[in-house]
Amino acid sequence: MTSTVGTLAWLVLLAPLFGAISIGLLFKQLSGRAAGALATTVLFTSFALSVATLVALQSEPEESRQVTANLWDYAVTAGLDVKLSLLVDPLSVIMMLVVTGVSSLIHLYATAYMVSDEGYNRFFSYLNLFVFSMLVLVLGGNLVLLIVGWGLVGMASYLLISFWYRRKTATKAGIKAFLINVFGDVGIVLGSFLLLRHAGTVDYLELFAKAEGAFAAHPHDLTWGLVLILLGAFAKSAQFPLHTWLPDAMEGPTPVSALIHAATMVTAGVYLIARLHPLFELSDVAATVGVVIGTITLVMAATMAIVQTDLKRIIAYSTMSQIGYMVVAVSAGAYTAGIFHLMTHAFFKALLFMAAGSVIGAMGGVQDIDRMGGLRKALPFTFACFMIGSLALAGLPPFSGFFSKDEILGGLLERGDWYTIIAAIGYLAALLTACYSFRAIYKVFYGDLNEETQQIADGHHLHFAPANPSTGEAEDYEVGFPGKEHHTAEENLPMKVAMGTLAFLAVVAGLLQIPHVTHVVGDFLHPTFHASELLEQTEASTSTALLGMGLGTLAALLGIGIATQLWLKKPGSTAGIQAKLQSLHTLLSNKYYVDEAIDLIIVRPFRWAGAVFERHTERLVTQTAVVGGSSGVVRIASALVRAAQTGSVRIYAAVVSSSTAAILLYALVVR
Amino acid sequence: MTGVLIALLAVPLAAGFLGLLGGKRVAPLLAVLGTTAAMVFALLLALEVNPGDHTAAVDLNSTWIPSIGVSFHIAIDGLNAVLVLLTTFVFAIGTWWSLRDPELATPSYLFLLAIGEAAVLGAFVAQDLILFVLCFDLMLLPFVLIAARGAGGDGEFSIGPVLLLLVYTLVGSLLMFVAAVGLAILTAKNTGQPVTFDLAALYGATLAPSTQRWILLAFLAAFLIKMPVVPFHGWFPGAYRTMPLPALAIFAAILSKVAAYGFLKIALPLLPDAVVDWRLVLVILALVSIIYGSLVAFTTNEPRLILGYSSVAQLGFILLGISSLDPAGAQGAIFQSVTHALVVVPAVILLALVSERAGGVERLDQLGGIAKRAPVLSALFLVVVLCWLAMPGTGNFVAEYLVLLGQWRVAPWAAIIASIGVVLAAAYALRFMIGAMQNLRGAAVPEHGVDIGGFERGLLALSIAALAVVALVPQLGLRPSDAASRNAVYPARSLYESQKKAGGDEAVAGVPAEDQESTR
Repeated sequence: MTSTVGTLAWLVLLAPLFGAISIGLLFKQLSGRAAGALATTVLFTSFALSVATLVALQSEPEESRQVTANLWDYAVTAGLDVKLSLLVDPLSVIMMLVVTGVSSLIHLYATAYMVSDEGYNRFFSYLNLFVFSMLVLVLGGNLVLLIVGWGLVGMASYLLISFWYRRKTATKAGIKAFLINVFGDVGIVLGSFLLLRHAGTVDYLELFAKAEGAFAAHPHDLTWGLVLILLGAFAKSAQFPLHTWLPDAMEGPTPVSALIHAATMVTAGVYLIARLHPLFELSDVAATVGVVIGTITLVMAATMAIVQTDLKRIIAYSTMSQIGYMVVAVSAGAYTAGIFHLMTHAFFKALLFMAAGSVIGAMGGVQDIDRMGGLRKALPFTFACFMIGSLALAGLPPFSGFFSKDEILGGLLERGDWYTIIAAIGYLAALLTACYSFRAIYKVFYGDLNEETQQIADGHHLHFAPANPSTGEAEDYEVGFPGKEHHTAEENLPMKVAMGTLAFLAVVAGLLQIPHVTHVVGDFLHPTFHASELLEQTEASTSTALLGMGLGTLAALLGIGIATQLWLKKPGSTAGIQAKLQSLHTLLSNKYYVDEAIDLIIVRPFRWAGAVFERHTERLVTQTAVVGGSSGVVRIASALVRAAQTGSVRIYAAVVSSSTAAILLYALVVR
Repeated sequence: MTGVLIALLAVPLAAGFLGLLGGKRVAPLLAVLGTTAAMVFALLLALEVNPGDHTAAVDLNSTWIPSIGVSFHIAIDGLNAVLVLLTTFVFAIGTWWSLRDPELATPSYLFLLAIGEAAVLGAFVAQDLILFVLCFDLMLLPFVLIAARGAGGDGEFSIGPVLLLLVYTLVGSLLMFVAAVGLAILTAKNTGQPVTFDLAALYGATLAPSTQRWILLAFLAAFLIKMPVVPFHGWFPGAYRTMPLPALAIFAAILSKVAAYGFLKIALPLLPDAVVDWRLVLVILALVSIIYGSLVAFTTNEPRLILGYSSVAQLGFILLGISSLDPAGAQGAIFQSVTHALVVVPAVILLALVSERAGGVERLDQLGGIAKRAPVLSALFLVVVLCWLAMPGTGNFVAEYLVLLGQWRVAPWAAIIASIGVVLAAAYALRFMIGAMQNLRGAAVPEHGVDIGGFERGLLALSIAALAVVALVPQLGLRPSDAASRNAVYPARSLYESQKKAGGDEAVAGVPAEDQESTR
């Protein structure tokens, strides 16, 4: 039916679905770590199959590295033609490799990290389901399957954010994330209508082939379609102003934050823009919207991270900011750079979250960095990993983040014009990035041990009475930070292996794509982007590349320097600065009041309308109807029915048949 | 196959009647046999349909009351095949579930359900206007009587809602009856032929637009009340509160769909001018239902009403698809009729299970924390809720996608407003699940709960299996009605397009040229 490549891709996709369903059905039978082992095995299988897909695809000649694999008709009617089809090309394969690869490691980590959680089996079922959904998203061969994958990852993300569903803050964060993501889904649905209207197809390859001709006479429809689709991308990738769910999503267990809210799902928007690049290249307006929103987000998130005191939220904001870079890159035509950064970011960000999880494990669930300090000796492995992740995030050579971020900014410089300003903003935010990353490092791992961290240095983990970390509410052991026992990388081999592998990748992955030296990623992706003119315009010349790398290094060093001054050398000095810039601090720690604005403009009016309708309008509709117009009829009929009720059931039957007869009689009379 | 078609109507009815005669012992057994047999017959009939052809696949036409031109003309075609199958499935699940409660499932109750099933099936397969109207009226009566039984004993007050239901829907039905008679007589006058109620004959001869308008008004009264559409929904909260849950599952799932089907079978082909004239009114009614229904569903604390108002909203989507006059919208409307019914049935079952675990309390603010006490129930609940809110990947999503696509082709603004309802659906469905199953234990929920039993598990497994089929292969549901739905909207649609062209507007785009032919 399909080629080897296609068959392999379907197997990659179906493996995690098999895992999710079998764990779901057997959740009472699987005990101990069995569910984790099954889920992880399935994922490693899926990764191995992905590698096989890669090999099979690479053995094809370059011009035929675009394989579609159909199963059956999904919805073929009324001008819509949707098949259950996958598109396997270098872009989807690289996504597939990143998704299955990083997921495997995070599954491995979670087998140990989550072991004392009551919902261990449920957790792995959801986690496998997420990977399946993500693979549908990146492999789907048409817009409808994209929407299916898009929706499903939103669902899996929801399930995992509110994984500890007895905690009100978790269910609230879950529903918030879900609603914002459904809003984004709707954007893509409506956008797909506009594309379908003129191109007559939702299939990617047909769409790209027809786009230029179909939209030549309707440029505005294309722009509107793409802007609507961007809404979906922004919602999923936590771009301004649809980002407010991401920090709250940290309510989920830490492996979830690492997998979904850092490495994979949140980068879906970047994938989407890259996937639809032939369309975005036909619409300057839509591409510009992407660049502008990405820029706003990357600055905004970096500034918010500076004042955060919750370890996971600092990393969450850094994710938002880094995705801002990627969105800018793929909107500006620097596709290779964007996808390359997506990949390296997946490595170092997953690593950072895993290390954070280990710290939180030792701290007994505490996430407040003000309560930490001096942990580098107590948690040496965790510290090393966190350091590597932070150096990569800060963009210091030769760590992977340096090369990938630099390729983005170098590309913007090369494109010139107003993109130069965007690049300048990008370097500035890079300085902030280095600054807040090292703020976290210094506050968590350096400085003096306090009363609590002293216990960790003595070889104990902290333990507290179970409570909700965000509200302090008392809880039992069945919810919240994983169970009675807490786990750190230092004493758990699976966590160590997962983190070690990612740390290695975070260090060396940059070598794949060094300007004018290696172009593994660029060459690999070439068949997907070969027709793009923009990509060439964003390939930095030697001089630009050198300038960019110089600026990047400088920004990182400067940022680290500032952090060293403020939080290592004179730890108390920030209080003075904070007092001087009180209003700025208030603005930042209140997250620019975006949450409040959305609440005021959207949530409250809807709630208010619902309350008014339920309390007043409905009373009018249901009661006036009785009292007013039909009260007479009701009274007469109620007397009749009461009479009928006293009789036997056979009277009812008689009523039914006689009323039917009455109607028939009526027909005869009218005749 | 005409024998099977007759058996489809006769067997469940006969089973119910024999049960009534046979008494308590045999009635349940006969009910199971009757509903199962109907499902088999419906499946056999559905397999006869040729998706490329809109004409009847199985046709039975015999004279009934020749003096007034009423015939017993029934048929299976692309438009009704899937709905007929759906009806038998829903009645089967609902009837089987009723048997769980021997107090409820008396022989008379089962007989009433059987009458209901025969009437609904009759309305779907009717090819004669009077037959349709009769079945449309008849299908309500069993449910009114069942609701009255449920309301009995509490005195006058609780009988009120039942009467409201009766009055509301009978007013609509009687108007429709008059309209049907008027339509046939006026058509006969125009053509000079003897009066006939046969739909095939009526399709050929359309009336003057001014006449069509008042006839449509009467049909609308019946259809919009039955669906119900805001602001004609006043009867439903009371009816939902009084009806026993197994009967409610059937009622909420199926009866509203006959009204939606009536639009495609009767209103659009017979009264195209009037429908085109009032298209905008229908679109606005649909949008009001979607937004209003969703908002009240989001606010109310009664699980039954959450379900009810959400049905109002989802019927709004169905009406939106129909009023697009576009094949995609019509296909979406039919398919959403199927997917909505398939999700309502397990949703009502879950509602019952939740209320059972809270000592009969049906208040959202007193529920919560059931998931921990009943994990299997919770997992099934989750699956149903995801279908309910039309998660991409479910059949419900495909239906909504088609509805919105159809409406987008004629009025993008309406599709945009309707899509607010998509987000609100997620809000009320999740609020329901979180409120009932998650968070901390509610006041009405005892500390030690029991998980779901084997019988309910089986019923839910069947329902979820049906949802899985429409999720994985929506084409199975879409294919049979492909040509028939296009044919149903054709007269109104071509009229609408020619008016638009005459108005100098841009033509309705996005539909391939070959769709625009009619074989009629």
